[in-house]
Amino acid sequence: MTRLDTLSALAGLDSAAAERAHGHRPDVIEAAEASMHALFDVGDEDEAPDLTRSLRLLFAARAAIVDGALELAEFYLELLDEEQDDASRASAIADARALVSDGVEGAAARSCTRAMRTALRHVDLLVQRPAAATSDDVVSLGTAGWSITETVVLSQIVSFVTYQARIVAGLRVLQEVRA
Amino acid sequence: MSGHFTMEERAWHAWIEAAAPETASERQREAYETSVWPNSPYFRLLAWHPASLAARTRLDRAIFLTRGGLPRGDRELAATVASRVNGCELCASVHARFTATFSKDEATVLRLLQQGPEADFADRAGAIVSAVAALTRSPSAFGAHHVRALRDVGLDDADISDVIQATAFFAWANRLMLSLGSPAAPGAADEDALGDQRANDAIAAER
Repeated sequence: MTRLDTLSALAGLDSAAAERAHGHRPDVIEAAEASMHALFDVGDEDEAPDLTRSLRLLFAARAAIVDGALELAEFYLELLDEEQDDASRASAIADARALVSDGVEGAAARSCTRAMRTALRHVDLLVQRPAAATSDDVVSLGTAGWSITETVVLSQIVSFVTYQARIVAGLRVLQEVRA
Repeated sequence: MSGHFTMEERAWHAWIEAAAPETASERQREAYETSVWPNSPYFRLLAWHPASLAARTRLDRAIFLTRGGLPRGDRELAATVASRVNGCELCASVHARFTATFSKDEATVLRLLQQGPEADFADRAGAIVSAVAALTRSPSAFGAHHVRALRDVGLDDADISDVIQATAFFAWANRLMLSLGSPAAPGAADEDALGDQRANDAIAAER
C-alpha cells in the first residue's frame, strides 16, 4: 500500500478512494506536495529567510481557520508545535494558538508587532474577501516591514491554503457520496 | 461585484516591483522563464520566490494541460466559474476563451460571464457551475447534493476530482492575482505579456 498524500489523508480517504479520485493524475499529487514543501521548508537558499517556518505555519493555520478548514488548521498547528526551538520572533508566536483562533482582533494580537498585526489582517482579507484587496493593503505590508519577497511568500501561503482547504473538503464529500 | 467580465484580452499590472532580467537571480529568472507566461508581471512578481512558483507551475500544467479524466473544456469551465465568483477579471477572460475553444460552446461561457453562476445552464454545465461556485465560495458550502448532481450527469470519481482540483487551483491563483495587482485595459506596454496569452490561445486552438 502506498503512503497517502497529505490532503487525501486529511480528507480521510483510504488508499482505494485516493486511487479512484486521482490515480489518473499522479503529477497533480506530486506537485501539490512539492508546493507545500517549497512554501514551508525554509532552506538555506530561500529568498525570504526572515519569514521563518514558524511564522509561515502560523499564517497558514490562521488562513485555514478563516476558511473553515479546521483539520487543516490543526495540521499546521501541530507542525508549528514542533518548531518550539525556533527563537526568532518567539514572543510573537508564543501565543500562537490564540493568534490562530482569534486573529488580529483577538487579545493575543495586542502584544504583537505592527508587522505581525498587518500580516494577520492581510491573511483574513485574502481568504475572505480577495476582490476587496487594494494596492494600499500591499503598501501597508511594506510599511510594516515586510519586503516584496516576503509579501509574495505570505500571499502564496494564504492562497495555497485556500487551495488545500478545497481539496480536503471536496475529497471528503466525494468519498461520502459513493456512486 | 462590480467586475468587468469579458472574453476580450485583459492586461494586469503589479502593485509592487516584479523581478526583471537585471534584478533577478538565476533561479528567479529560470522560474519566470519556465512559467506559463514568461513575460507577464504576474509570474515575474511570483518569481521573487522561485521554488514556490516552479512547483505551482507544475501543478497548473498537471491539472489543466493533461489528457484523460474530465474533458479540458470542463476543467476550463471550472476555472472560469471560480474566477467569475472570486472576481478575477483577467483569469476569467483567459479561461473563458479556453472554455469556448475546448467546449465549442461560447454561449454558455458568455452567459456565465455576463449573468454569473446563478444563470440557467444545460444539465452538464449546470451541475459543474453549481458545484464549482459553491466550492469557490467556501469549502463547507460544497455538499453531497453537488456530488450527486455531478454523478447524475455522468461524471465519475476521477472526473469529479478534476472538477475539485481545477476549482481549488483557482482559489489560489485568483487570490494572488487579486491581491498583488489589478486588471487593466491592454496598452502598448502590455504587448509582451499579451503575446504570451495569444501564444497559449493559439496552441489551444490547434488541439
